[in-house]
Amino acid sequence: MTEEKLQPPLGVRIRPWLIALPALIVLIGILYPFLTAIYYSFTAYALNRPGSLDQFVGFRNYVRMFTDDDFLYSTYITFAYALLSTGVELVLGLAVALLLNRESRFAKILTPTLIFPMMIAPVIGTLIWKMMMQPSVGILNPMLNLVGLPSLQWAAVPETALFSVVLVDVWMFTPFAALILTAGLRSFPSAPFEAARVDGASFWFTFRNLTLPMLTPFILIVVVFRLMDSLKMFDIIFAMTEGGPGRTLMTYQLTAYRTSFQFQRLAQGLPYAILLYIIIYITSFYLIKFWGRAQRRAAGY
Amino acid sequence: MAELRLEHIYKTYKGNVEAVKDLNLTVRDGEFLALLGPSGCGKTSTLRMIVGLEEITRGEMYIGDRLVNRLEPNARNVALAFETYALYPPLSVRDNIAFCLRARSVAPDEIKRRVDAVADMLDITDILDRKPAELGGGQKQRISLARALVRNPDVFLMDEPLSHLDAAQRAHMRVELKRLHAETGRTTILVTHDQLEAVAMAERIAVMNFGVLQQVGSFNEVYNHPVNEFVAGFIGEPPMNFLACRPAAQNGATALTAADGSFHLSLPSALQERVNAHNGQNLHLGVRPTDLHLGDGAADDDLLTLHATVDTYESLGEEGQLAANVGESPVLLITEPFLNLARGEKVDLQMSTNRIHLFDADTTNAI
Repeated sequence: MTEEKLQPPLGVRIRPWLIALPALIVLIGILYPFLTAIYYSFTAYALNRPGSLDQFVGFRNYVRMFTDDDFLYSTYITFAYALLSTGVELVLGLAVALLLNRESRFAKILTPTLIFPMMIAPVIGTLIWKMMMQPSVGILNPMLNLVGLPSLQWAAVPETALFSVVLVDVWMFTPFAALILTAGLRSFPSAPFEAARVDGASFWFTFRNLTLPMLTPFILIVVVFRLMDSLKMFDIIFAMTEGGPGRTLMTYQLTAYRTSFQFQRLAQGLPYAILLYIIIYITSFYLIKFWGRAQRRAAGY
Repeated sequence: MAELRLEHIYKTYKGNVEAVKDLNLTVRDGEFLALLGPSGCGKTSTLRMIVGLEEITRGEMYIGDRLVNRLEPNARNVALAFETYALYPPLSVRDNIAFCLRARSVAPDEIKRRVDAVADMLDITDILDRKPAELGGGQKQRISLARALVRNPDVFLMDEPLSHLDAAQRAHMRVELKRLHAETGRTTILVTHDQLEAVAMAERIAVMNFGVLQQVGSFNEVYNHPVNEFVAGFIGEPPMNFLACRPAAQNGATALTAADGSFHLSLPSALQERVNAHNGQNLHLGVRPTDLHLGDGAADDDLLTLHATVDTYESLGEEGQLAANVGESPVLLITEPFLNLARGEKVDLQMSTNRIHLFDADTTNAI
């Protein structure tokens, strides 16, 4: 009897479950499609062949991906796009952040405008760039000619296709890098930098020895976000060339889309998506580990 | 090493906030000067102008014979130990100290030799490979001093260098800083709000208030001959007592009568002359708590007597502190410990005529 009385009322006993419920629902929403995708990738599932979902084919889709003639190229273009755009955005973002890191009216007005490119949907932004790049009526070629440079075929030819989409990515996401890095610079205490001035350090000496180590955690945040995003970039490439010309811009993501949906062979496209997931997972795992270390270092441990 | 000369220095911040007004101050070559004043008196602004972190609004500043107004901090060859230490977080203690030498491309052996020497002097050799965040306040303080000392500056400035230390460390560092100055003979400026620090270390004290330099002098000068009520009240602990009074003619001589009529003091001729020479009617009589004694009834020409009522009495072991009222004015005095004084008891307080200070109540200047 007494033991029964010690039991908390039902409302209290189910409280932990109620609190955990939203997280569980979200987890189901994430895990269910993910596990389903892994399961589908071991079948012959094609959208136009009813019953193919029950056809279990083992690793055949994976073998097909790895032995595909275009697999190596697709790997190259996926990483080339991601590393190029992330790298350029980081360097430009850092330059912009350093320029904006001062007490001037100019910086005050300019900082909020950084958000403008990010307020435009990537597809819309890309379509506008595409119009500007249009060889006969676009504005970019006349501008190039104005400074004495020859016209470009932009995304229409393989030689400049990667450059063209990276350019759009850089235009769209450099402000993101600049904003994160500006926030980082603004969060620094002013005293060590004043001390460096009194100590007679030049801008570059202070930058190498003080600013850069203190900024590393913020740089890694930019790298994690931009690398994850650009590895799986779809919008810009698809809106610009749908992966072309030819297979020039067929990244993992574009290949997965084309195989699974345009060719309706869903199961065959899935290995690309799953490989991409594994690459992103491993990359961000290590980057986040470095981030923790960099943060301790920046804080002076 | 060099002399530092400030001539008519002004600092005005945005919104017309005048932090420093018409500051004239010369710090002699090799001198240890303390810039003393309450928070917001302009001492830190002055320091930052000397270093070059703050622009000088008006006036001229010389280090040695060089006009430094327009010079960047790195061109002034001054070193500053910051109040917040301002250590470089990502760098080891050794690199923190070596920073200015590396920035000036000093040879590596030379850097190592000088860092080791200064680390030895400040007793931080064992933490040279640690990072700043792992260290305690006292250690950080030493690093920040080491960093300032390693480069042979012309002028060495310290901003509240002891404010973050506990009492024992503070006493210890006071001795060390004084020894350091004696050993290096550098022109040194200490900025502090703590008069004990200023008194303990500096040869001369510059007292500031509301952006205006009040008085510069040795401790003896500012303590015994304060130029105005602010200096008189700021220097000395507990602070000086002030009693409102006015001159009164008495049998052809000049005496002082309390504003509320609670005392009437005959003055010796020297003081009479000073009061007569001054034409103000409202005066303040200042007397330090240590110069005011419980009277034993003995009459003496040199002693002045105030009749007071006991308010509270605290026996603090080595001494006692008596708060009493002279008329309506409260006074504080240091007495023997373990006295039996009841609230409301009448007591006589005596002071020597050469230990009293007189100020004009309107201008607050000493007369």
